[in-house]
Amino acid sequence: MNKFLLRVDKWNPVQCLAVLLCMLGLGTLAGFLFQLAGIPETAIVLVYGLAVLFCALCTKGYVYGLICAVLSALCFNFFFTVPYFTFRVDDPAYVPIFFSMATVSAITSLLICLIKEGLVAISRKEAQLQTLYDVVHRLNQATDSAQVKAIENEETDPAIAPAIRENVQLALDRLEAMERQLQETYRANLLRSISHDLRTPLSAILANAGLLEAQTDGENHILAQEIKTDSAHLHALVENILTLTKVQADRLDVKKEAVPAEEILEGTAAVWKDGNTTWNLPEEELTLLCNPVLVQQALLNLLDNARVHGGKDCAISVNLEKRKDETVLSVTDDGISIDQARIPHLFETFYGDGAGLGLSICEAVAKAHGGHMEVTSGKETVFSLVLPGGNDA
Amino acid sequence: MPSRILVVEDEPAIARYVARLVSGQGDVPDVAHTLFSARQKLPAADILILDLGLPDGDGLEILKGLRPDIPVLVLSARDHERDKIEALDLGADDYLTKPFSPGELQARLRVAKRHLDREKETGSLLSSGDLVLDGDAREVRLQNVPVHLSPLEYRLLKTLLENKGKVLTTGQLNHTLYGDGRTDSTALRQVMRGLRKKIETDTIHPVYLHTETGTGYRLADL
Repeated sequence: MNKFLLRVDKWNPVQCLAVLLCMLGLGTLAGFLFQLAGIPETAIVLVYGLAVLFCALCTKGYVYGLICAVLSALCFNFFFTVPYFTFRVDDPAYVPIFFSMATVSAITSLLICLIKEGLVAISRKEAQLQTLYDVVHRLNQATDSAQVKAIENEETDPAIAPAIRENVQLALDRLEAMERQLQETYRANLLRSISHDLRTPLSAILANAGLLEAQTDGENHILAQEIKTDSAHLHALVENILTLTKVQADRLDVKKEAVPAEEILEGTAAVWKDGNTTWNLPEEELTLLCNPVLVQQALLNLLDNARVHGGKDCAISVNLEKRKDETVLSVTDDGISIDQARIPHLFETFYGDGAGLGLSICEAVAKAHGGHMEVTSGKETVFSLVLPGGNDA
Repeated sequence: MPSRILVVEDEPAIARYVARLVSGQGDVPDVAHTLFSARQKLPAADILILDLGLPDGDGLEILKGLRPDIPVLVLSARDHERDKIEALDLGADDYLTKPFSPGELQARLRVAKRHLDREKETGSLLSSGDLVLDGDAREVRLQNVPVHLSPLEYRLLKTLLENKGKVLTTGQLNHTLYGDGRTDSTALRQVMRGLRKKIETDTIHPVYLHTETGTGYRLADL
């Protein structure tokens, strides 16, 4: 029924007019049959009423129903009242019958129209929902953005276009996230194998240089030493590049743990064996929500930076303090201060002399934790790694 | 007494270098370049230095089913925590990332040798330096002064002392403390914090209890 109504709703005027004439014809035909059978003409009035009802049902809008109501009254007059085949009437009693006939059928056809429109609206909504459901289902099955675009272009119903646009966007977002995930896994694996493949020959060079150094003296000994120093430098650089790439790649997905602050300082101090560095741990127990490996790496870079730029005899101190909602890990040196103009550029990758990479790592680590870096330089130079969350965060 | 140290390493330069370092300490090196030859030479070895990426397989394969009394020092270019933890969980004593400093390797070899030379701890007395755990009396003494530990701290220290010199992963320690496979180490770290406070005077430069950032903990073999 609903499908039929939907189809009717799309019919053009010619089709509707055909339906109208057809119904009038059928009504008239039935009227003649009734007349032959000797059934009173009041029954013919009812047959015309039925014809109007069907006409209203099977045409678009209300106009044809109304026309049909008027025409049916005229037809009744023309075919079935004396004198036959004229619009005149002998019996004036028929006049109110014509009028009431036309009025009743007109009202009926209007009511039918209202019901029809309601049903059509419901059916249309239903069909839209079905389409939308199908589209969403297909969007969810889509595996690339070309498929998504194709589905988007197929559907042209303007009523559901905004909903489809929204779902297309969702599907594109989902695909993008999948793609990103895939790329991240790929990049992580690539990084792992690159770092392995870079370390292996470097280790071999360092090993051979070490052996040569032990076996030679004079000029060759110095050459071996130089190879060792340069390879070690290259190794440090490679490690820094790899770390920076890794932190920047993983920054959305850093695994954090609640780590006692003393563990981080202890782990760092175990690597940073420098007699001129003091470590200050506050009395209160501090716990940092962080990735301890990354924070330790950042701290080591800050220490290295302080030693290189502060001068080899400067005193360095590592401090830990809790601010309002932040925990601050800072490295202070009393060595050569930094030109104020340079401070804003310090964290730019490869700014200055390559050691800048270390500071870029610190900044990347801070950002990966949702924190930031702070620098002040005057009598003392202080680099701070500020992490969000205070104690027992 | 010199130990026989099997160096499993496919990179000739590094194998040569490690062998040289080993003999420099007065020990006897033996080199295997493949997993296959390592398996053949293993019965004669006292200590194993193991590279993970070998031409005919993963060095971790050797760790599975290895006799428990042989110390294993993993020497690998893989530096991801996951790789370290995997090797340590499979029973490796220590993990060194390439490139390594010769001093570092020798120091760790000395620890492994001590592990080897050490007679089985007599009875229930465990110790490292001035730190003594008396299992019969359930008492811990530091420089002959009794230290009061909570039951969890006691159990943690006992496990660490039983494996002194060896890196224990947070996973392994979680298992001894709580007997489950939990991956969150927050509780463990708090117990460790308590223990550290009681046995260390300078927590930044500890004597006994060392943190291996990202992998686990080690009690120094003194």
